[in-house]
Amino acid sequence: MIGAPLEPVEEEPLEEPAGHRTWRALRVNPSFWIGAFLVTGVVFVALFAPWLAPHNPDQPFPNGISAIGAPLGHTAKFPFGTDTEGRDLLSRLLFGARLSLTISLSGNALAVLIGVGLGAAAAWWRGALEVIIMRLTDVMLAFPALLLALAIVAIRGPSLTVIIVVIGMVSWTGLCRITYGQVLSYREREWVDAARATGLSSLRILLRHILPHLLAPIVVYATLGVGLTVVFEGSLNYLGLGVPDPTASWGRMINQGASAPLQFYWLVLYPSLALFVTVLGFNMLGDALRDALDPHGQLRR
Amino acid sequence: MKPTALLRVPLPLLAALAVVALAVAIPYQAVARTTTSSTHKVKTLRVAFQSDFGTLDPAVGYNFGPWIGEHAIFDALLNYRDAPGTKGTQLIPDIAKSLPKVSRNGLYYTFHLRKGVRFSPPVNRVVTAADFKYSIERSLSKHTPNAAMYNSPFWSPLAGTKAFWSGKAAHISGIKVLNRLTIQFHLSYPDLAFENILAMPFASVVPKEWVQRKGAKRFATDPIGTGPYRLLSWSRGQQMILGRNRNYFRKGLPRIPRVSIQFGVNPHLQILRAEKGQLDLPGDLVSTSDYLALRLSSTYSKQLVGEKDIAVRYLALNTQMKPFKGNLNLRRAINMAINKPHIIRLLNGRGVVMNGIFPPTMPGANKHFTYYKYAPKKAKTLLKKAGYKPGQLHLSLMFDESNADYTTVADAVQADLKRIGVDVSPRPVSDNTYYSLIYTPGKSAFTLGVWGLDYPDPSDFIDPLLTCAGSSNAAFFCNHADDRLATRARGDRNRKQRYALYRKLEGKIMSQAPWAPLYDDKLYDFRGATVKHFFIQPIWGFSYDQYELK
Amino acid sequence: MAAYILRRLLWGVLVLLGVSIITFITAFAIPSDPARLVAGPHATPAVLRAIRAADGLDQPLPVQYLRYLLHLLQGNLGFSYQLQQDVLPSIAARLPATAVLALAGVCFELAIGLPIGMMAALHHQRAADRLGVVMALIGFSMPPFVLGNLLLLVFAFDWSIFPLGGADQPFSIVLPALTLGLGGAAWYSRLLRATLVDILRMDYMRTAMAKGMTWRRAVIRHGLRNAAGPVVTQFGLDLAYFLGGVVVVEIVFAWPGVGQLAYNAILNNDINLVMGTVLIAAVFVVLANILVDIVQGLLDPRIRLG
Repeated sequence: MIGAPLEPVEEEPLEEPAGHRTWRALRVNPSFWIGAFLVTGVVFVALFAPWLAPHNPDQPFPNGISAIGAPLGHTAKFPFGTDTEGRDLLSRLLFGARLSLTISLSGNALAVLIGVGLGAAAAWWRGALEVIIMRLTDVMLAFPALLLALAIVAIRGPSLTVIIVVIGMVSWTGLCRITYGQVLSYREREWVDAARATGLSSLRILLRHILPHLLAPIVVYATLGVGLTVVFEGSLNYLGLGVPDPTASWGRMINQGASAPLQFYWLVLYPSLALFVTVLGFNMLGDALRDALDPHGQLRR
Repeated sequence: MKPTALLRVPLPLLAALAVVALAVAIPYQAVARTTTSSTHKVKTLRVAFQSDFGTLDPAVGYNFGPWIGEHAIFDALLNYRDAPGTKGTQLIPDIAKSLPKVSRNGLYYTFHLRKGVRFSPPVNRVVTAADFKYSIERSLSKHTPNAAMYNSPFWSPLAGTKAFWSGKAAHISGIKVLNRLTIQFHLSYPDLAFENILAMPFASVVPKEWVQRKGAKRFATDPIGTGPYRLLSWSRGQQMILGRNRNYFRKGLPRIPRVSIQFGVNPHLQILRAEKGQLDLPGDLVSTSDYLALRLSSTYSKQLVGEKDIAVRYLALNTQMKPFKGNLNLRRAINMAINKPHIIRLLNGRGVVMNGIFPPTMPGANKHFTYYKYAPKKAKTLLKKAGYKPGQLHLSLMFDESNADYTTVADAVQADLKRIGVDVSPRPVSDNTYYSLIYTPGKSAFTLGVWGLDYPDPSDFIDPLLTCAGSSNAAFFCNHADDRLATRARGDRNRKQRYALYRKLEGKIMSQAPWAPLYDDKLYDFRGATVKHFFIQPIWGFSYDQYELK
Repeated sequence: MAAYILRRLLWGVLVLLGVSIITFITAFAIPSDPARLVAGPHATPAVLRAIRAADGLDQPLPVQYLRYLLHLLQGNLGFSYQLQQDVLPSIAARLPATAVLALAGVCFELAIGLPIGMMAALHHQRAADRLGVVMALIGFSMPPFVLGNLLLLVFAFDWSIFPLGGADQPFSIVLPALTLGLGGAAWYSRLLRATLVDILRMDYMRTAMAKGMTWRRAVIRHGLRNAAGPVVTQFGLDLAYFLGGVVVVEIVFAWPGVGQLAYNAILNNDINLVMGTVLIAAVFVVLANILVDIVQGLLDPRIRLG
């Protein structure tokens, strides 16, 4: 496999607290501000969707479609128009943010948990455990992620839990390798030996002393991961293997709208924009964080 | 240093890459082109489908896709008229010289074959009565891999099938070859639908020597029949080319000498291509949003061709599973809660509301059958009587996700039932999962059922669907008195009397409400501007041999 | 060197074994029934039983897996129910189409990504850099199904410049390859920019300039050569991933490749075909990894093999 374990970040003699340095780097980076703005916006919308949405997103309105069953454009009642079933598009967009973020954030949290846990365990205890975990990582990396995810969803049935678990399953390997490399270098440090000498348990050392050092790469990786996952979830939905209707999902809305004629442009334009803006936000934020936290560029991919 | 100078650095690189990309792409395209370029010299009907037909073996293929291909390549004793609408459900002789002579007791069917019907090259041999005996026995045999008709109730009226299926007899005693061109079928009890069975692809004639030479599995991809076309080439999942069978016994057919069928093209892309004249005939049905687009367009609305299907979409209320088991009030409540006209509107008017079991397009159907009117208030009362307060009952509605319309219908059912206080969560599954679950006892209590006909006779909507032995009985409805009535109706040779019996049966079954019938759909195909004489054959969908190109 | 390659190959076989086990477990936990697909929706239970017995679908899972593995070693990936033919030839028939698309896609990635990355690095922290970064971000944030449909609508339908999907016309490949390329180009531009920025700060660049070498030549001589490593790695891995089938793009553009085959197999629960496509995709990834490692070693003698 490529990328023998990444070399750990060499600790430089610090003249000022790391937090200040990071903040100074972030503050001058427009990417950070734009990204943070977009992400905050999407998170806000997702959190307050029930209060922001003018209608129930799953409710088809009998007067939401025309006499021949065509969706309506912008009206006073439906500011962003309706879909082919007469449901309010704006409400569906807002709740779509909720679904997208729920899946991406939980899926990534799961990936972080698995990746960091396994990576740290492999590096700390080594031996047979290390061999098994790192071989498992190789196996998982060899899988075509989208194909595997599609197969599992097709078999297990598309539900929120299944999709979150699938996303966690296919995206933990990168973090596992990074964590493994970092912990491997830390475990030989003097301060770890010192901690060990005082009789602290392995778990305590890992959590108390080593984990804080891993925060920077985890934050960067997870932020960029959310952007990737939003697209991934969108793809699942686009291929018809996402969270089932009537739950509002951007990927599914794009799928259904993509075959609509141009006179119903709102069906595809708004969900596409929403998806794009969300991914862009997380990517910009992740980029800025990486530049600030990882000036040596070790977490490039 | 000037920035423009820097741009020069990547330019050679860029050029090199472009050259590599083209160097790889163009020869490949050239290869891909040669496989189709030969078709451009001959007049070719360009068709596209999403999924491959999978098989062209008439003993195996039992689906919309393979039937289209099999219909082009094979012939049976009987066929349906090449016409749209009800006319297209009329039986006509095909390889048989005329309709069969039926004995007075309705048990003996005698067919005389046309003279000089020959298999397509390279077999070229004349078809005899013995070929039909061989072909039908092959279709029904358990030794034919994947034979769909093994143990099928369709054939149980034919004498000797039981012994044949159990392995006690090597041949079906009910099929007799009287002479080279005469064949007789003997039934153990009268069945008016038997002629329809003999028009199904399973009863098509195949050449024994070719099947044996190729082996059963390879015959599915290299078939020989007597039909208007023969298979020229087939790259699985990509393209199939049909060419004129010069031995075809009807003079002047097919009018278009070649059909090129492309697979793996999604339905939307099919429409876009047809609009641009890059495709003559999209194979898959027009989807909701495409339909709207075409209908609203002044140019393309004229090329939309509609045909009432002979089919039913219904909610199956599993009478052997909770909560529907033994709860007639609940089943009736569901029936009264569905706003069917609204569903039709959601489907852009592509359907007709149904209240009974037989679609209005079915011969003998009662077009004005109503049992349960839309009455949400009454439904609420019935729900209470059934023992459920609003919000107490949760159902999961299983449906086949491969058709986008069903998602729309499931959502509408959910909204309607919510109004009377029943929570429904739609459960879309792949078509394969769907069919393996809904006919298995105890798997799905509430199903969006779909039935399209095998042959245009009311028995096709009763025997498989609503009898105790029915193989596609998603409601698991079983009433022995009704079963007896069904057997009587099926055997009644007086058409008028027979239809009356079926109408009576429809009322009796619906009073038990094992279904909430929803609608009979209307099918739309989009025909390219180049296709003349286009019509939708109600049984086969397409009859490529009848169309013409401008 | 030979021993190293041998060891890597052995490791690759082990990984593939792991892949086959995981795929098999995933595939056979199906609540539905492959026999049903063979027989169609109207088949009777007796027919299904007969099919199951004939194909060994009624035996315990470990037995089924071992038999599968045995066949695998003989190069037999099983029979596809959906296509009614063997899995290996089905995939092989689709590979040329996918290979062409993958190669063209990767070429587009490089052709678009490298110049942008280079410009961004050379104008580090200036307008061109910012522009490059923003363009990369936009390309990178555009989901392929949005981009693909957009290109299809504008260039194929409205303007009729390119064919509407498929693979049978001279320029069919442009739009799908471009969709792949625009998304992937962002990676390369970021990769090259970051690598070059680091390298251009290095001492040997200053030394080279001091020795009278022009800036441009110094960039070509040292910068690009040093940046080649990561780019080659990425190139190899991308090609391998694309060879495994580019599901979304192939579906949007009706490109008759492995991705489309796999997608249809998944939708139809065609287990052997699903397993076959996943395995073949994994083979490409594993082989590409080994190759990339070797090429890396040749490019940069500091990396020791063995």
